[in-house]
Amino acid sequence: MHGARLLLCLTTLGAVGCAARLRLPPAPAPRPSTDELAGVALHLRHFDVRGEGDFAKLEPTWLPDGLRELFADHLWAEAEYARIHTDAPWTRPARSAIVDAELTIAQARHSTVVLDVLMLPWFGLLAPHWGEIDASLSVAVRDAASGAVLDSFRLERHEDFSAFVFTLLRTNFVFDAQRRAVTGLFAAASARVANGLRAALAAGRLDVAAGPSAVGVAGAEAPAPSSSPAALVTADALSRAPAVASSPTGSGVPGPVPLAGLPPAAAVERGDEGGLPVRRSHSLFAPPRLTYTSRFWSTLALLGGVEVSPFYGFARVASQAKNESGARVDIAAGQATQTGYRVALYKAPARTGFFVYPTLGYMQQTIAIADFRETLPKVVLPGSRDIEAVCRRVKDYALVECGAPTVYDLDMKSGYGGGRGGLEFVFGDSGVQMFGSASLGLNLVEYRAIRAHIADHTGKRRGFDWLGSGAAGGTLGVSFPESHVALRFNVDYELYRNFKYAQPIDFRGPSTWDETVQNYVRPPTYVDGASLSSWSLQCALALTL
Amino acid sequence: MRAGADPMRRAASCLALVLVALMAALHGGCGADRSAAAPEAPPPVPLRVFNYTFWPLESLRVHYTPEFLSAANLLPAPLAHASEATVDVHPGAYITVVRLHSEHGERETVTTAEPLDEVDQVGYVLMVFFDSFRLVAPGYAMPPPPTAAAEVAPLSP
Repeated sequence: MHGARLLLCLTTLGAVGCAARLRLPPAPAPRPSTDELAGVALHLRHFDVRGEGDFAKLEPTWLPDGLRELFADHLWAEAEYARIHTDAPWTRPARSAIVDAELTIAQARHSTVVLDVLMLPWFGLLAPHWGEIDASLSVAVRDAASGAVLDSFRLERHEDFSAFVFTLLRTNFVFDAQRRAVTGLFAAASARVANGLRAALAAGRLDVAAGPSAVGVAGAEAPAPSSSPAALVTADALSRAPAVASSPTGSGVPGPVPLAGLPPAAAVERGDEGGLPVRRSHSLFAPPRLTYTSRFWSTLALLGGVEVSPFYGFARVASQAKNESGARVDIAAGQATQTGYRVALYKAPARTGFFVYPTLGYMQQTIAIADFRETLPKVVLPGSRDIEAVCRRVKDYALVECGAPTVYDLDMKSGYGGGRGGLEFVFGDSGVQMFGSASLGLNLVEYRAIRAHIADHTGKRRGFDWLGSGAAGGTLGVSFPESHVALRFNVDYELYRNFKYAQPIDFRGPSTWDETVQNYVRPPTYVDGASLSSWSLQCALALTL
Repeated sequence: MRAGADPMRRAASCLALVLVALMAALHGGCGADRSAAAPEAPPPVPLRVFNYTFWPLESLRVHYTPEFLSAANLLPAPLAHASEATVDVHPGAYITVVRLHSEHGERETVTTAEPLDEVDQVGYVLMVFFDSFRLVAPGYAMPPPPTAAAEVAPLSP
């Protein structure tokens, strides 16, 4: 128990430690357009990201190349350029422009340390966290041929965030604010770039002959924005930056300038010639992709993953009949426990939301059902003497209990199809995620078979049944996306109602007073079906591929 | 001489034994004449048996030891629920019936755990329940007349 508590606390601390990360928003949907920019190629040459506040201490290698691609996505969605290069080197086509950008993002997250410590064992149940994000994007657009600055600007955006419950495990409210800030800047900047290029085209300023006279400013290639705060390129600085007058190759075309300390950008090229993006990395926390050389593992990866779990099951079967007052009471019941191991396909949920999926299944349960033992009250009547009985089984004359319960051995099978839906939630970050789900299922159609056996008699029945069974369950687990491992606890309840026997079978009913014989008796009671319910608990270790 | 005396004594002893045997034979031959005055063994009395087991009784046996296998079945046909049969019994009889445990269940013998010592006159009723018996003395509360009565074979000697 203490070990589990320690594990949960460590999990919480892990989640808190990862809370200052930046999550990238999804790319915007492409917006087809046919405008004059269809013949213009863009080169997203420099894209720097600089962190401040909570992000100031981050290593440069941490900074995501996915942001560059995300900005390219927004540019691509804003206008139908001929192509967009985010890689270097590139061969400058005619009518092309160069875009340099620097994103500065500052984040400050605050909390009450006392409440954080007090609520640590409860994952920050009531521990308010709040903060703000300030982001700015500086962009310079140049004519690729001449290096002349066509447009430069700086956009800023401020977003607040706050949360009050389970804040030690939650990061979504911070990521949401980051997404709003970044996508807002990128969308506005993309529109500004497209409008600037349209204006440049209209003014004949794009793809003019290179040379100082053409742009009015001579000099070397514009310096690449540095990750150093002192070198932050503002809109004004970009507008004052010297245009390209020469390049390392001497062609007059600005050449690639690697950014110190940053990983090389992913090779992404958009356009008819380059095809669709070959790699998208829009999530900082996307688990590393695994390469499967085996067909078995690659097939398994398509199915999500595999889990192995020990389980404990408890099944109960009951037959009911109406009593004198009309209420249904159990006439007979039986129960069985089962333990074992189960191997199944499983993939931990990746996002919070509702889910629905079809189900196909098979159930088999062998279980005994019996009426209840009941000690009848003693009746003393004048002039009479009650005499005990000694009972033997005729088959072998073995002594048996006279009032022993009537026992039938049942074998119940069901092949079913239906659906299951519910709500699942996920919170956490790339290191650890807590997840859970609650679901309900309904089996629309079943093919049922039941066999009831007693002594030398066996009754069998087979047939289709409709809407005769369902299930409810819940899952609570923790996953480690980067390790592709998940651990979950699952509880499931299944109910198969009215499993009809081949013909009504009899049990000894509840005791009643028989006025005729002046005694308590248990008359035979016939039932025509049984319901089966089962609980199962399992602890599963999953390998999510 | 001594050897001659021994045969004589033996002859006298044999004669005495013969006389004793004759007297014993005479005594036995006259016993029938004096039997009318001796107490006679009680005759069997009818015992009404009611079936309240909810299942037909396939067999009804009367026996005078707990072992019942050698006793004959007195029912010519199964005795239905709430039906009556009459058998002749002596005091100290055991009763054994055969009934079903359930409609498709095992057939079971049900035997009185104690002998019916007190059944020595007409009017006793034995009620057979599913897992017990009740012996009702003459003159006490009786169940209503059964719906059907079964033919009962004569009591086997």
